[in-house]
Amino acid sequence: MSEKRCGPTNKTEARDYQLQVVNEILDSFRNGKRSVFVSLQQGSGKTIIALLALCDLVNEDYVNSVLILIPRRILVDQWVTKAQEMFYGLGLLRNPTLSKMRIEEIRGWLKHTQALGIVMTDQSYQRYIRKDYFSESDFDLVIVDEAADLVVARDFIEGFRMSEYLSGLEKWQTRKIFLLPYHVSEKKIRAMVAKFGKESVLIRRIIEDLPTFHYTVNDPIIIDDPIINTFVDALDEYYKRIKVNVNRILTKYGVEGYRENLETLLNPKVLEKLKKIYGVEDETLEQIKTLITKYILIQHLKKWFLYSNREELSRSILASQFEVNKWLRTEDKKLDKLAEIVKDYLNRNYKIYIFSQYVSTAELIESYLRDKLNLRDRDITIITGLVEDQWSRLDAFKRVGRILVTTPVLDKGADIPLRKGVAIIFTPPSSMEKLFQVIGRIRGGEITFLAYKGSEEETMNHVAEEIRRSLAEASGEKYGLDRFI
Amino acid sequence: MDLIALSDIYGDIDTLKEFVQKLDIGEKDRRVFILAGDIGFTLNQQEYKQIFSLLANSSNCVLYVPGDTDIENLNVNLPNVINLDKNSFSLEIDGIRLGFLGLGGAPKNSIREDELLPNTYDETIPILKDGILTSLKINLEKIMLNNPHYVVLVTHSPPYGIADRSTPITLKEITILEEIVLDVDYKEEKGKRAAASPRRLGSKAIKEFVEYYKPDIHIFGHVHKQGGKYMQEGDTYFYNVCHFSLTPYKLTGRKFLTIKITKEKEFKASFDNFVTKELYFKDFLEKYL
Repeated sequence: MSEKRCGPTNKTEARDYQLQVVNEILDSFRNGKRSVFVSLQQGSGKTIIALLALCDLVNEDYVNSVLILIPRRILVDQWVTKAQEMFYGLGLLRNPTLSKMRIEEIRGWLKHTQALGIVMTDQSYQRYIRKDYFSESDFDLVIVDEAADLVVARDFIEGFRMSEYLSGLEKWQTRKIFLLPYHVSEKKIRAMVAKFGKESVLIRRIIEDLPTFHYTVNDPIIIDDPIINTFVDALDEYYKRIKVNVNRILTKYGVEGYRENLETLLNPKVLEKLKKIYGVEDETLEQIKTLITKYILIQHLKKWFLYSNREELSRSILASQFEVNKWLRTEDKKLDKLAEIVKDYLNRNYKIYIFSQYVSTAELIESYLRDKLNLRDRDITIITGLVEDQWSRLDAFKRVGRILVTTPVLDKGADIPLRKGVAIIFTPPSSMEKLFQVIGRIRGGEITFLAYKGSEEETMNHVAEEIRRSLAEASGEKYGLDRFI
Repeated sequence: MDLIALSDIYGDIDTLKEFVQKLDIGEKDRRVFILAGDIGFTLNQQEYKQIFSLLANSSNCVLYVPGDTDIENLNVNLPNVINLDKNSFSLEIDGIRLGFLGLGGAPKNSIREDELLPNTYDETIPILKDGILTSLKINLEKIMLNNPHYVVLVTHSPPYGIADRSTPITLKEITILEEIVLDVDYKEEKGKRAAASPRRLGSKAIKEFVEYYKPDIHIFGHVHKQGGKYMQEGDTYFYNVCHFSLTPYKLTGRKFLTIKITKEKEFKASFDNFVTKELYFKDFLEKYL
């Protein structure tokens, strides 16, 4: 063992299924595959699998230099520390701050020391590669951890495309291992594999004998605010009317398709097609564009109302409308209910993890709870992409904190086990996939949703039910998440 | 005395006309208009003149700085219209003395690379940055000679780090997922890297100036997504007053700031939108969305 450059320490005992996946990875590379996608449940030890494969490749002299990509800055230190606890011989440089002056130094460091490689964020990768600080020739292996967003469909016009941060990686001939949670939709995984071409292979399965985390999904807590309902109903009505109008235009010109995803009609290529094939006049195309833009804005506004995004609302023209203006001056009932629930959980000595999709809402929640519940600084911690010391804050929360308010910045990889805890979803993430990432962080406990009475109530009831079902079912095929993603 | 601050009008004369018509003409002499740049966009001299005349006819004076979409030497030769770009102006109304100084244009790195705008400056070149600072300092000294109750700085660009955060204008911005993009590791690392964030569009020269010379009020525009934000740091109040035009964002346009100065050391500032407030929510959406 001592002759090997790296390997698991005595503390690390690889499980059979892990060794099996490692062998499959190595076989794939031996068979000429370049990209291996590993999709397993949370808690199955995907990182250990990747490191075991890395060590085998290093010990066989196939790999001398590895690039490890992590989605969030907050995770880099945690990742390297854990990896070095579990494996010996892993000399890894952490997210180096590169400048043209130091690049040769770093290359030299990689070449002439025992260092195996560099761990950096996806964002750093994009920046450094774009600046030609590194190229594929500098690495023999790339490991992308938490690669669920390797492809994204953020602006629904394009379908899945490479993540802005990791774009270019698909062209590298270097061997690559991508680690993904199991709950990523098949459709998305297929899109990923397609981007990396025929030399890709997918290892995806449910590991049966993993320790399971116990979650209790509570019924959504319903908040009754008739004023919110007035706004949301009006927005919904407007939204439906636009949909009907666009559909009418499409029917008039005999256009099939696009109806499930009206936003596609903003794509210049689609508009060109409507003009050439269906003879839609320029004036009508302009009308369609205006309608779709409104259609998107309405969805946006609805979320601002439902998710207490008062900061944005108060800077919009709506703040001047007399009813909205009046509402903005009243206490936010959703926040008020949240304070009530938080107080109750605190009394029962729970650790509380509050998720909000919006940074501004997270900030609002933090200041509201702090004032309302008269909290001490150490009781409540906020972590968003805007705070500098994310890792220190997370560490403090784990040790002494009672409430953590956060955003998607912690949705991947960060380990936040709450021995007796609750995740309160103040604003749901954009998809079930993201929701699973969020609740996966706390490794068991209660899950509570807040919803305004009305359309949000229906949606959240549905989401809660689906999570209950998904958590209860052991089989991957029965997860049934795809239709939400 | 009322200071009414507008920014990023982008030549929207019709909306401006409507706005001015609603103002109380009886208060004309106690009203000062402040324009924080991007007054026009490919406007000719005559059209600029039309905008300034509109405002000048309903106020004591109009103080402006050109923005990055305006020509650099924007002068219209109207008696009560003053260009504050690298310039200063002192004023006394109802016994309250105000000193104004300004800087037009925007840092080159705050606009998209493919945009060729007429009025930008490259503050990464030390000599140019020093020039900006020197001009601001000289003008501050000039207004201080009148012992003003308030020092008002008017720039088109925000100071770096204050109400200056933005993202490129794409369809993504108006989709429901934009917050994720905004939230992802905005600051990669402390220090240098944070300063290089492409999402902070403010001027470092202006930041340096306000940090050391502490005006009482700083009015600016330029970064549309932050319009309507205000902040207090030390004794300085910062206001991002954009945008008055209906574009680029319908939801955040028609904005203006009113600062009511009643006493030597007392003022009240409030943002508002030029809209018909009494409309029912449904009708409001119909009209303004």
